[in-house]
Amino acid sequence: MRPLDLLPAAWAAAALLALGACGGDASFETETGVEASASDGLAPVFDAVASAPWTTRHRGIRRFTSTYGSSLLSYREEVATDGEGRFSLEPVELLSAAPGGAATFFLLQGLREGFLFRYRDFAVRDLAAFHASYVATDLDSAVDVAGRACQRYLVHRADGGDRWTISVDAETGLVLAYERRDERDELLARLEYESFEPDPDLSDVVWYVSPNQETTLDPSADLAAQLDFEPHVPTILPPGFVLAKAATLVDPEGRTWLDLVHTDGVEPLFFLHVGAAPDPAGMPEDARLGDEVVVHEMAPATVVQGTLRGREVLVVGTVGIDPLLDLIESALP
Amino acid sequence: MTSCADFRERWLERPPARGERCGAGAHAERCPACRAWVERVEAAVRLVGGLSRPSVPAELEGRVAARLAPGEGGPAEAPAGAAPEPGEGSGGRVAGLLASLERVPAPAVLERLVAEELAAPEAARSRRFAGSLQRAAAPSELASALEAQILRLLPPGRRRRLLVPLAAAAAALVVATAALVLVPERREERGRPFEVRYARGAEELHPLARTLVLSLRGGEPPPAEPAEENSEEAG
Repeated sequence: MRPLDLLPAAWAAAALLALGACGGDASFETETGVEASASDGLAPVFDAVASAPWTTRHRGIRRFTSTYGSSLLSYREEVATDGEGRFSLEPVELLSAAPGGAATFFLLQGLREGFLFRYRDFAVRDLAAFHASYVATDLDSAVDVAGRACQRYLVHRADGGDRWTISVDAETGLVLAYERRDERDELLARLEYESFEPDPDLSDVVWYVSPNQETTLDPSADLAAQLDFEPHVPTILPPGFVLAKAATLVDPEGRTWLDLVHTDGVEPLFFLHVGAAPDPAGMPEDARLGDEVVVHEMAPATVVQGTLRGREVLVVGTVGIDPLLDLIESALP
Repeated sequence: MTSCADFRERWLERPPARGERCGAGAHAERCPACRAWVERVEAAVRLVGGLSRPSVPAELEGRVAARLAPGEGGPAEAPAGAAPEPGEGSGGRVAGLLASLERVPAPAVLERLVAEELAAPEAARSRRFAGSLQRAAAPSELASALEAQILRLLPPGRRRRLLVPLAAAAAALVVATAALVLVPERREERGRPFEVRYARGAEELHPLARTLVLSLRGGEPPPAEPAEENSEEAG
């Protein structure tokens, strides 16, 4: 073996050592704190963040504000969780304008209660995906939120995108405040608890019940075996996304939808399609005739909806258009 | 006379044999820098060559084979006609089990994406990057703000004469913007097995999609306020 053959290996080893010291799971001091991959020293923090909404008994009033698309929406809401998976989320005061006024707003928010609690805010929705895709920085800053001692962290995807500054309750792991900002540092959304009861009386709480006959499926098992129709499952997902939840829903027209919820650890991505197979007599010979999707952009999400192979399809996510179209195409039979 | 660069290049191509001093004859003996360079390279070669090569633990193959084997916790039974398992303890046991796994075809879109990437990687990459960017809509106040800026730049006497054509140009700009905003854009998605249309209004949104999007936003915001009338120096 000639020395020339080994020199590239020697330089490569030196380069890898240098890169390993700069990125990956290594920690190093930054101006504002210690940055680390979400997979190392901060792992216990985010393990707690992931489970806290479902395992912490509490009650509180919090204020939500969003400025997506330069439209201001702000309101107060009361949240309650029993620590056993049940939750309640009710708006209590509208602080900005809303179509139809406060009464209409409260009614509509009630219809979205489940989605709001599960998907509106910062949450760690899949630990493994979160540790793989996100970077967390301990801002080394203790703050008081609603009388609770919290630690602040900066969280963002390793490949860029929106940044979350979260305040985590040191005792429970609940995120008691967060700010979401885009890459231009424009504020997109903010949530902050204004009051917090750690062990409250929950006897008067009306717990959320799904209005659409939601039935949870096992996403790790064969979906076809759990359904009475053939599911179309996307096989090409945007980078970092995994299937986190599968369920069926029944819409007001009585149609059953397959709802596949994906996540990159924080952001949700929904893929739904109607379960009923089309009537072959009504289908054109070439089932691709008339296949069309329509793209809507409503910050912070992109919606792709349409009819493919005779079935209605919906995709809603905060990623760009092309990844959503690739996802849909990969689900086609 | 051999230069240092020449010496080092030739040394790397043909290092000296054992017992031969530095090679390339007199240059190394005269040049301390190159002698030191040779010593560093030889030390690096010894260092890298002396690194241990980690090997796969002996029990790994058995654990992989146990995981792949048909039965509880493993994949489904091997289909008929599958290759027979090699003898126990052989390195081919895992290979045989892998060969018996059911093959899941890759989605058709994957072949197209890979072909696009291989044919023109830079173009495919920039198309995916641009396609993933969010489209920002121009605010409706832009036309009136631009008009106000232009009027401020003009001498007062000229403003009245140019007001009508400027107003017409601003109106045309607003109409053009509205057309871009309201008229759905139909875009040919090369290679997609379905047609893609772009809409800006929320009227066509499916109720389920609307619920999901508004939930991500936190609720339905108020509609955007119309642009204020430009009242500066109108007459």
